[in-house]
Amino acid sequence: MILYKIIIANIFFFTILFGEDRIAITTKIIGKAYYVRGNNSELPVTKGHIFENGDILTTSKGGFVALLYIDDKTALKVKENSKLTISGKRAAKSIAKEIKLDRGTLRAIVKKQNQNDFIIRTPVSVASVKGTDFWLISNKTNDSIIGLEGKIAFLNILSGETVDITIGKTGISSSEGSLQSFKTDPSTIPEDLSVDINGDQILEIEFENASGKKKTLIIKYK
Amino acid sequence: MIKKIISRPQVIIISFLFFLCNLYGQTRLIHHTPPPYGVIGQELKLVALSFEVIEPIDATLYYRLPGSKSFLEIPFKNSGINWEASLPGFSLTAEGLEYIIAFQFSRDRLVSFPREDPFNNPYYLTTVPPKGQKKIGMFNNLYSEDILILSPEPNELVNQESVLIATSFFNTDKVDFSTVQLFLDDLEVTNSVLIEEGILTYDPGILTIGIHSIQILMKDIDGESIIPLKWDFIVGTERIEILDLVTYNGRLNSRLSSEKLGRTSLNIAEVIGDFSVDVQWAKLNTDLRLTSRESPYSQPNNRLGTAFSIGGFLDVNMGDFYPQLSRFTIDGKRVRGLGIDADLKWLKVQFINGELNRAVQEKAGVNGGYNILYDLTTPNEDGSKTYYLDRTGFSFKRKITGLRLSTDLFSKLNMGVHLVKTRDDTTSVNRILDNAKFYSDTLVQNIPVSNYTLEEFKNALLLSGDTLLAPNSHWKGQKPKDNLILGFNIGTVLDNQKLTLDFDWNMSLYNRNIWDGVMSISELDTAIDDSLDGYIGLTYDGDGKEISGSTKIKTSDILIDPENIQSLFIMNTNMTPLVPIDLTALSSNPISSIINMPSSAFKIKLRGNYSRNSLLVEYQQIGPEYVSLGNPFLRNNTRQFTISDRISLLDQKLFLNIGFKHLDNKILKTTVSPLNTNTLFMNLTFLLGLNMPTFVFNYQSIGKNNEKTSLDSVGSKTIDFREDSKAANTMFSVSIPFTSGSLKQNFTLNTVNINNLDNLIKKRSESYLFPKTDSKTISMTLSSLFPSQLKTVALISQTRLDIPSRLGNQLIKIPYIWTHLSLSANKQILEEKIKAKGSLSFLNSKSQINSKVLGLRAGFDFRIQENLTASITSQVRFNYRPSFNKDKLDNDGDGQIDNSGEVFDMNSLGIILNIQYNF
Repeated sequence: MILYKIIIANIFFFTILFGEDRIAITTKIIGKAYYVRGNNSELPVTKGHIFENGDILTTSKGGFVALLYIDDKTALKVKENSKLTISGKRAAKSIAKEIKLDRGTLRAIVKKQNQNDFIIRTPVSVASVKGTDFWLISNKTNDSIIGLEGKIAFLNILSGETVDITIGKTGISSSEGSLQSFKTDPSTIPEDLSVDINGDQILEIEFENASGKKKTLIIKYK
Repeated sequence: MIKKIISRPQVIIISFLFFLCNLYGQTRLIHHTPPPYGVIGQELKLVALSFEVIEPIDATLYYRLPGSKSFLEIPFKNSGINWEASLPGFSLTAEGLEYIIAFQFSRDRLVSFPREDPFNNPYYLTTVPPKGQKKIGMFNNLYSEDILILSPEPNELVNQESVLIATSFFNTDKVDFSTVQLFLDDLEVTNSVLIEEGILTYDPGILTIGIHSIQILMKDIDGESIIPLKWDFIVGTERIEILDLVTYNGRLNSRLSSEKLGRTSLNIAEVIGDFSVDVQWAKLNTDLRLTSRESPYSQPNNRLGTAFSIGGFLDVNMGDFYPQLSRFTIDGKRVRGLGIDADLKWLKVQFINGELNRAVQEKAGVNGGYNILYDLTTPNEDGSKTYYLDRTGFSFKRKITGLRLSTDLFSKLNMGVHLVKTRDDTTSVNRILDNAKFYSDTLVQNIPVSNYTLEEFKNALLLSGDTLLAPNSHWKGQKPKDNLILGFNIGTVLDNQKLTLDFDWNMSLYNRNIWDGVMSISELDTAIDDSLDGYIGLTYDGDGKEISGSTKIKTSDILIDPENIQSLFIMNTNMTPLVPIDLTALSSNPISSIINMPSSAFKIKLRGNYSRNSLLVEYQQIGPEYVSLGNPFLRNNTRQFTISDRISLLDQKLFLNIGFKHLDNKILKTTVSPLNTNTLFMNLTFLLGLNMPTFVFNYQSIGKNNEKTSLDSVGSKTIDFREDSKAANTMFSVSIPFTSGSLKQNFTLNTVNINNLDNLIKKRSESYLFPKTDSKTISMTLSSLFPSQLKTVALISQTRLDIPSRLGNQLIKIPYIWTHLSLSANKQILEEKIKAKGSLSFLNSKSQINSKVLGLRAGFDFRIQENLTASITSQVRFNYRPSFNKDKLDNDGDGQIDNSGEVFDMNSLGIILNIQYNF
């Protein structure tokens, strides 16, 4: 029995010793999403799942994942058909955050970073921010970044060109090295499945009378 | 403020000094009135007054937390009458504070408050909480704000099924996790809580609709209670946004250009538009291009296509679209017709039906529809002549139909079959053009030299006694074609989706002339031999005996009657291949016979992604008789083997791409002088990061040889067709962003070198001319962004070619050097409503003829409204050729020698207008 406990304790010790830092937690999931940790096989992402440094997240068609970094609540909202690697080096007071987006669409609401920038890399571009809100859409041929708040430094890694994307601007970085920015067309902004669009909140309260008839009271408030 | 910590031995020494001072007469006092209390967390100023005549040498405030052994010290500042020092806010805690004031005078005299043994009996100051804060009592108020509420947010509305309670203790290390208690609506649920590495999570399941409260109680590592964390949230139904039933957007762009290049003018008007309508369950996209280049004498330049998507499982394309079935069939070539793409999860269906080319009746101008072929003029017995008039300038309508069925089983195995049929419609071209004009010259005797229509020419020949042969089919020029491709593909994913293996095989049947239509079985009998004997290919000697070794295929063994399948493919003697497979080798070596079918094309590809490596191993073979009219750019009679690896290093900052490719045309054993091309390539890209330099280095070594070892005889001459050469292609590029004051700049340097080497140079004759050209290019660009938003780009580049040539018996290399300088700029003006842009360029060309070209370009972009923009750009270029000045030649063909027009003239001139409207 004692030997058994020693073995279990050692397993936990080595797990802690060799396990990666835990850096973010899933707060919402719609549809199907999977993660791969190290050399393990793909497992489904569930509500409350905690991501470790280096985990690879993949969302299926119709899938959506919202996750928060545990040091400052920087939010990532990952839409369907996306694949990314979540990285973060834990320091004493913060996590140095980096995302490698292979493909797909994500929204990043980045809190003010004290030391390192929040960096998102794609096969074509690098976006670097200190605190802002933006959408990044990456496919085989180009990346689009839509600024919602703050400023993002957007780099095309093939040509070395950079451009600052601010609120109301869209940047497009192509696999041929071109980089342009222009005014955002509102119809191109992806839908965020985790927030109410206009910020209004709704409370629905269902009543049932003695005869079983139901009525719903809807209260809209801000 | 200088703070020092006084240790215990020092305290003893100072205390002893104070004792001595008291012992030897400390007769002077300092006056200090202690404050009644200190406020926790707030700075407190202490004031002391000295009654000594002379100033103190040192005045210090010592303080500590009750129970501590050491003191911190702060010097007093002389404010004139008083001496002042401030206790920092952090020193005032709920436990109170102990402090001492000490003034040191000359001759080591010390005066203190308290007077008696101050370091053992310091003054105790009580502390009170700040106003408005609840009485803390034994609580410590430091930690709750360091705990992050991750989910749900305070007062957030969450869905019943989406509730997750989570907090992060990342920013505090003082919490004792074993003391954490979680209450949901005042009910303790601590047993179901999970705390991992400072992250607390709890899934309450489905909650009732309404307001819920969360409370977290905890203690710090010293056992002291921390202020509870409390917040509320609401469970309800999140609002489902009722979007507009129909949303639409689009763009319309109009472009007018007028350009003159040399003596050629080109005026083009174009309208491009796209339009999208979204009705939630379906989407419609339409693309349109109308251009003045559209002409009935060529393939269409106008485009109109509509794509209709339903529910993400059905896509329908009508009009112009660009289907892709596979690389060996159709891979993005425009089709005008109908395309259907259905994704039914387990089965995918792709169908295309339309035309690749439209019918074109003739080319513009004289001889656009008819052409007299003088070499086919035949003399008649009566001395007259028959002239041959051929139909020309036409293109048949080329129809295409394709079907592909594929399936993806469990994301592990994918398979598909496809069929693509392409055929020219011989009825789409008019046999007779009544109004087409053609030229008759003096080779047609007895009628005037002039342009004629068909009727006019017939009548003229009739009058002269000659005849005309103008066939209605089987014209000498382009022939109608037919093409059928069958194929399949299979692929699998291995090793946890890291390895993919794909195999794609296709076979083509191609008929290069279907004028004669399909041949019957009896016609097939005599296709290869001349005997109608029930055998294909069987030949006889002069005595009627079978020649051994000749092909002998029984017509009765042919399973397919060509006449029965003529709607699918027209089989006749113009078919390639006549027999798709080598029947004699099939029995002895069936696999090799099938794989090496001259009309087959296949590819096997292995791709792997392992630990920053992206590996590719691929073999592709396209037989010499493989034809796909849907992909005319496919190069047949090739075998290609590729192996490459792309490695990502240094956290995706360094990319290394290395590989080897072998290409040859040795599919058939009978190939004479096959050409082998071996390419070794390496690419290194180093990206240091944002606002950092970028380096790219590329090297390619291309070796070509045709395995010839001896010279060839052509007529009476001996010609050296041997090839064994190597081309080394080196490219280097560096881009450096930097800032000069308020100026943001980027400097880029590019160099490209191509060197060719003849490996047989020692075996060549002295008169042999190695025809390959070496080249060197260097360019530098400096782009700048000024604070006033002016952007400039300055470029300087030089390209040098050394073209081999012969001067008499001497081999020489003629240098061609182009030096290019340019400066361009653009700036936003008038509150960014207008963008002004311009550029100046200079090109100096040094070769056998020296010339210079000066170019100017200027334009404006206007933002008229939010959705409406316009732009205008004009450009002009001038030639300057000083070598034409006194060469005594009429270089421009204007009848004048050495005039100014030869030396200086306008090279090109143009203006472009553009208007775009977004809606």
